[in-house]
Amino acid sequence: MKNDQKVKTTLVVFGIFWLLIILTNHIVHIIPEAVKLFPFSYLLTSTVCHMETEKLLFIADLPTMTCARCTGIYFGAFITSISILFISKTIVAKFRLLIFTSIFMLADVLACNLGIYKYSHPIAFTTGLFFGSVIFLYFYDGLIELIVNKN
Amino acid sequence: MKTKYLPVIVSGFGAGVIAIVPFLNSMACCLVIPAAAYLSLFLDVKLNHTPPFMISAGKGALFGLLTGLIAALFATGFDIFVTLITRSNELMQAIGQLPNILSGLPLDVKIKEEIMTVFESLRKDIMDDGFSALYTVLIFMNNLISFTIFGLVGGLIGSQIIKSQNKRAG
Repeated sequence: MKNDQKVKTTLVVFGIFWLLIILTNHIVHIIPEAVKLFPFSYLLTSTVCHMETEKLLFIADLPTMTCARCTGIYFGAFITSISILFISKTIVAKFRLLIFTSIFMLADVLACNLGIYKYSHPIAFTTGLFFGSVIFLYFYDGLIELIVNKN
Repeated sequence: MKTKYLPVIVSGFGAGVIAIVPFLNSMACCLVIPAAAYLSLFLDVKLNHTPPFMISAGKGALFGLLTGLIAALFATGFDIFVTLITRSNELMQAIGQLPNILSGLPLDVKIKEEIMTVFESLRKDIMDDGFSALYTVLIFMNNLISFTIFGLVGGLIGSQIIKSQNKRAG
């Protein structure tokens, strides 16, 4: 297995692990014994998200561990990680796309905080999803350069 | 004056200040710190005349990590200073909501009571003296972990953004 393929696979495995952490409440609902993992999940997610109760995303009546926007970012990054694993053609991150998705997300953050409109879970999730899927490409390029092409 | 790490100090200081401003601090870890890491690399290009193609992912990660570290130090220092003067902080206001938050967590009643006791003593220390060693440790550890992780990721991403901008310009 080539080194870049190893990096891609590791990222997908890490992505699955991270999504499971985000869906801890759902896992506990299915496997009650998994409740022991809750403090660990809470500790991990509390360092990366404010976890405001009213901003958490509800899936099947159970809240995710991160807010709708963060869930969108991580889910978007996960989708891209799967895409680059199966698509052999190199996906080039377009800077214009990064600017566009950043503005889209920041505009929503500002509009909500300034009270122009109320926080919307679908909008927060979608803006996060687009931003996460684009920013992941830059993260991936950096990681490949750091690990595979350092010379 | 050696300017090698000046961009890191400047952007880390800026991020540390923003991290204690109400409203902006809610975006500190996920937006401000990665942006500060990018800014440190951008300033390095401008100030030290580093060619953009020389900004490697390793350098990006290192600058990001250091920016996060400096931001964590300044943010913690400012937070302690503001708490000392005002004898209040965001955590103090959040403690009132703690019983509601704890009731939703699948924890043992004894553990919940212990958590409440610890936070009540923290509140008392801050109200009486304006300082709590526990709060200082908590806030520093929280800032250190989240800021360095997001700084590292931001620096890694920032190095690739600077390179892609350079490719477009060239």
